[in-house]
Amino acid sequence: MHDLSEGDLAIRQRTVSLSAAEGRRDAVLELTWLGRSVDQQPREKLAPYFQQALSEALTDRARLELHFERLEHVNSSTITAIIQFIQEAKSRKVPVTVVFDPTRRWQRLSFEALRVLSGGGLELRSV
Amino acid sequence: MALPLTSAIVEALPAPDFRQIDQLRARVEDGSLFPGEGFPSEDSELRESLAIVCGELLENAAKYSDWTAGRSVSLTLIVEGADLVVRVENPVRPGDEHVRELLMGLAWLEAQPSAAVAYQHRVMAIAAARPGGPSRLGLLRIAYEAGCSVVAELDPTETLLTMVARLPVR
Repeated sequence: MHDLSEGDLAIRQRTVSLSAAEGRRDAVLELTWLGRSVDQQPREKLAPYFQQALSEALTDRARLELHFERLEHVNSSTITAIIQFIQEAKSRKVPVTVVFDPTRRWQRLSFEALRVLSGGGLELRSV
Repeated sequence: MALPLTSAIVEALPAPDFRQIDQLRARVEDGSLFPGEGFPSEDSELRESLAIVCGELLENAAKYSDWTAGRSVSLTLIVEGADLVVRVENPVRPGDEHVRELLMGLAWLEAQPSAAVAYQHRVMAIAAARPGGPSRLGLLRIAYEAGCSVVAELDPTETLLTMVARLPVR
């Protein structure tokens, strides 16, 4: 697994190992989003990256943490790609935590709305 | 807060350039697009909402315009009474399916109990759909995140689509 850098968007990945006492999962795969995602077709670049992240999470028995709190802006096409990624993670039984900054209006509204997808391993967390 | 009517700010988009759209959106968000008098440049949350409106309307126009006509997409910002009005005009092809879908989408939005409910419906629909389909989230984002009303008007020749979003100044 590697970082992604595409235009003004960067995604930094980090795997955190957990002790057995910290839960049933062995690790956390953190994907920290930085910058801006404004491509017309973001899915073309994001989907292969997401697939790799899911494969690694399954192999390592990791849960995914998507950190958006430092993200400046995304367009609606990127939000669509994120929704589909979360849904695929849920269908493959990979727990996902979405972390966002509620003091930023667009983050609060965009990510709070994902509560309709809650359950099946999706957790929303504000910082 | 009632604002005085000021002269409009007009920007043209001569090509479907998403980077240019983002630069324009950033200028709205940081207030540098506003010449000063009349526009609420001190309100960062309002600027953020306005940036979402401009960005999503321009992205829609960039995706679905008839660029073969050699015409530009135009963005106009006007302070009108207590509202900020964003108008985006773009050339379209007569009978364009995307325009029909957009008008139907706005009618659907109008029939929903609230923009938040409409947005949540769309999130669920995206989650249930096969990946790669159209987002159709942009206009809902304008209504839900920016709190705007949105109307569309197609000229009689069906070659010019005008989208108008009205953002109340709190």
